[in-house]
Amino acid sequence: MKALLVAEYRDGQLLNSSYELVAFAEQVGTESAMFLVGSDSVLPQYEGTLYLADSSKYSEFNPAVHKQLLLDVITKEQPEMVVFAHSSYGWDLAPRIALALNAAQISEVVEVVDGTPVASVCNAKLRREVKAKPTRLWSPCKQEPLA
Amino acid sequence: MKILVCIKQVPDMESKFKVNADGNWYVDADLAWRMNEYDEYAVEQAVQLKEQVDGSDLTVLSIGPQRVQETMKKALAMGCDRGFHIADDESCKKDPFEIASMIAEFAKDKGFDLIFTGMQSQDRGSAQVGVLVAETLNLPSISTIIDFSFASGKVSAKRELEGGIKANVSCATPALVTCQLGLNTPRYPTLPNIMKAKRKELLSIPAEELLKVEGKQETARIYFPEKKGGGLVLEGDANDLADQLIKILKEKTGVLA
Repeated sequence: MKALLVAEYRDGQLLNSSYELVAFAEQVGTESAMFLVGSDSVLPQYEGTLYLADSSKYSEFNPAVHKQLLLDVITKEQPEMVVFAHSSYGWDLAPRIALALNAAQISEVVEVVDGTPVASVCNAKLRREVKAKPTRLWSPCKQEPLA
Repeated sequence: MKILVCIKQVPDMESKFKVNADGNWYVDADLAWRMNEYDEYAVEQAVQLKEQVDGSDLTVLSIGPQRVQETMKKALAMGCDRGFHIADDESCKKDPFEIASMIAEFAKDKGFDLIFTGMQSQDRGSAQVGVLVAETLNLPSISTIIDFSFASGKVSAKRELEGGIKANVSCATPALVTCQLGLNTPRYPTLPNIMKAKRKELLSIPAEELLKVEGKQETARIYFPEKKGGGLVLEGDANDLADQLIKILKEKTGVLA
């Protein structure tokens, strides 16, 4: 299995949530590649393949452009899973990608048990195991509450 | 200007939830129901826009069983002009893609200039439906907004990012925005407006007439998370602390066995 990790960059900084995605891929036991719209001046410490788009050219927030850049990388990498942070960037971009790929998006994944993503329900009072119906790809979001 | 606001009825989050017999959702009996909090901000913003632009018409839409009409009546009392109920007793089993598809199917030929949704629901919390509706209708969307203005056919909004940072974003209409908590101060319906709301149009059609897609995911099992034990803070001088810690390790764990 391969996961494409969607790292985040803002105001000249790589966001730490990017490393949560690396930890997530390790936890799930999948190989990974990384996508980032950022800058080559602050590259993530990541050993896998990094697809870097220049944020000075593509802007830090431009959903239509970021969506297409990411879809291009997905076409090339053919991952089974695309992983976003559960953040304002992930909330905005993940549904666009899921719809374009005809894929299930599983939001706010807090753990993966025996390969099954577990999401939070009702203000974390309940948990639910989510089963994606056979589609090309599912895209969980790791939890990162707003500060 | 034609405006649509989409709302969801959710249980009060302070409710005592029970898992249903199938083990795949919570029991919906004996719960207090209310408007999803994020959607209250969406309704308020939609009403403010209607009041700003003369001749506007504001529709409130909701999907769910008959009881969701009670929540829709609150939106009508807040200032929406008409309601459109997509009747679905099994709406809790629909995934965000199916919900968004039904909304898009309804909205596709209505010529809405602006669509408001909550940023997410309090129960499922997927944060997908609004953006999916916009993508399906090929509309620009701005998510997680905490400030909104409209002038000369253009929406200007502030998105809430992490760490207290905000981003200014604008787009032309038609467009969709998803509303974050704190966007405005939702109004309380007045008694006269509650009475007027009872006479407003509220149409209902079965979900089957709008649902033309299959879901992409399902809840296989729902359960209560394990309660984790509370922390214990030891206090005193170092020798006492060491004794206390050794005692606890011997009594509660096997690490010193």
